Amino acid sequence: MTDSGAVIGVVAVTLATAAVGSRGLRVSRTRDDFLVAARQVPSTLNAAAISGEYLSAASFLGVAGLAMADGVGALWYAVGYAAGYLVLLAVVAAPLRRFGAYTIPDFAEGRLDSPLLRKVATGFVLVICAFYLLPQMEGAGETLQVAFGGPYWIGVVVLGVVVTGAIASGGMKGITFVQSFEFWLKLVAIALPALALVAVFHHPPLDSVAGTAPSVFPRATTVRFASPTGIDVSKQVSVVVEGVLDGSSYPASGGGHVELSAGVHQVASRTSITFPPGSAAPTLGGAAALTNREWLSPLLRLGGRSIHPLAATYGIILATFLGALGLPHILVRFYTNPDGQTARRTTAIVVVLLSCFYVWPALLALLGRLEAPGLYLSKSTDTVVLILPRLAVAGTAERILSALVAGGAFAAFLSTSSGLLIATAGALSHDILGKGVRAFRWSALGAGIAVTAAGLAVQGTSINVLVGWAFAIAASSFCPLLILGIWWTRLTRIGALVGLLLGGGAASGAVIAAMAGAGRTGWPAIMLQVPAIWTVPLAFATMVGLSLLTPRALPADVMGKLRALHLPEGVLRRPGIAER
Amino acid sequence: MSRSVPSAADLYVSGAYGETLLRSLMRAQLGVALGVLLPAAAVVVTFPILSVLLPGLVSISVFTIPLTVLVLGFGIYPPLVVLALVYVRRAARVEERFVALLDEDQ
Repeated sequence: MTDSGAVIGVVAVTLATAAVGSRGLRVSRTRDDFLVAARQVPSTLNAAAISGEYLSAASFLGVAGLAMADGVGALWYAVGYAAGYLVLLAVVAAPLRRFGAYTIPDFAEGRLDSPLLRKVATGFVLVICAFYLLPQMEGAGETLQVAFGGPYWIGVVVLGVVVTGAIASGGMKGITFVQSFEFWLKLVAIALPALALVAVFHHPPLDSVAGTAPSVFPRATTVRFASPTGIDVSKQVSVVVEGVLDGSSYPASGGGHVELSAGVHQVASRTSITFPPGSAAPTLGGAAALTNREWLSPLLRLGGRSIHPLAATYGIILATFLGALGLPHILVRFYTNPDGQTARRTTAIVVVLLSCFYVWPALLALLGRLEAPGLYLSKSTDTVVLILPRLAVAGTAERILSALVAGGAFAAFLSTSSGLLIATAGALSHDILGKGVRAFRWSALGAGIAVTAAGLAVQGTSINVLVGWAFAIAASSFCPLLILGIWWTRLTRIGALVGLLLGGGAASGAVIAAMAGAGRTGWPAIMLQVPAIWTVPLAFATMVGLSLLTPRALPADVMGKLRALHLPEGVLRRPGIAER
Repeated sequence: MSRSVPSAADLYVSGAYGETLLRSLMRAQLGVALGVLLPAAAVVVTFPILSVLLPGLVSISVFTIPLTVLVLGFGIYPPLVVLALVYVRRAARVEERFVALLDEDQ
């Protein structure tokens, strides 16, 4: 089943990106051009570009999907994704721009005079980028799956080829314009369908989500089951089945009419069931089905279950509020501001733009719960943003909205993964493979291929959970390094190095263990799935404690470095102050 | 290629007086930063606890929108924007005052 609108959207966005990006190819010649677009970008354009680069698959698809699946508490992710920029604004934006280092490894080496610290920082840049790139690939796979009805790998390969090709041939000069354009595209693509659904088309009242009545299919709905599933039917209903239900087969074309009695039924994989309008939606049964009251709770559920909800919530708050300032692909953008005060203004505009964006995923999650209960059964709530427009409207309007949403989603994957790939290739070529534009291109190619291959393996993991893990690692490694490096005079090489290794290493280890399936219940689940709650304090405590114990490892001329970080630009250009 | 530290900075505002000036600037800027981060943290830390202490919170609706959706989905963003704008103005003012202080000295 091909959705022509969605296909047009994806193709248009991809071609536009390639076209605008290729204009950058002719202008970009030096590494400066490649990495920071020559520092001539105005504030508003730059803020839109930062937001465009930042709003990834997690924001566009993941937040609404996870909130629909696990409840309102998952909106803490969105709150943190936006509020992270308030933290970035208040503690790192201007000083980091004034210091004049391009990347976090540059900052680590420049601030603490330690080439070893630089190498470790480079390692964490690669880890964070990898964790962040995987969900982009997954989002692309799922989006093209919805658009074409084809296999998952097509989207992953398309995104991998387009992004790797663009980065290996172009650079950031073109990307700045592309990224800012893609921000506005994403905002329109998520706001318009939500507005259309609320304003124009019939839907149940929004607060019926707080009622006790079971969810109802507002219209005839076909649910496709990808894996064997047990469904709990609350009231007898007559449905059309294609595939295998309770052990009996029904023809794939036309299907068979079945009176589904109340109780639990077993659906085989690759089976479709069509429910009539107005019928009560079955649930997955057991703990998987949230009551409306549970869904409305503002506390986070891990994998839909209530495991120490306060600790889980605070863990995600820590990771997202503190993780944004340690994202390698975002920090590079701050050097496109001419001075520190402009960097602040740009960041504040980013907060405004992100706030305008994140109200929509919340609304779509709410609408998804009311309008598309079938997504719970097919376990594909991550596609709710893509599915909703086509449930609500028909004909040309549906095709336009589908094109817009699929295009916006693909813009999200393209912009974020190109930013991440630039950061990855920059780190690889500068610190490992040798400098120069040639090394940068080969690094982009190698990293692009590796990530595409890995992207094929993560199908089914929540997009938002994967991105949340990238934030947790950033919050436990670069966040303490930046905050203490900028505001504390007594940070030493050894404190920074061990803190980075312990905090970042513990967070990475926890996340890898969680991916491997360890710690599903109780406190181990919290420790592994929301590691920031203990790894962030661990990193800060180690850096501060060890620095106080090793005063001899202080870098040379700390005050000179802090002057470079904090003095306004005008003061540096002013002669004669040194004499007094 | 790595421009770790601009060497121009080393030439100006050095010595004990320069250090005192710098530390006072840093303290003022840190104060401005905490002035917006602490109120934000207070809200963010209290709301989850509040929802545990007052379980009735989830059944409230305002203008047909459930309260928890309203707060986490919409209500939290306007204050966030205000705090960001307030920070930019205050931080700029601190720097203006710092530069004026240097001018007076000259």
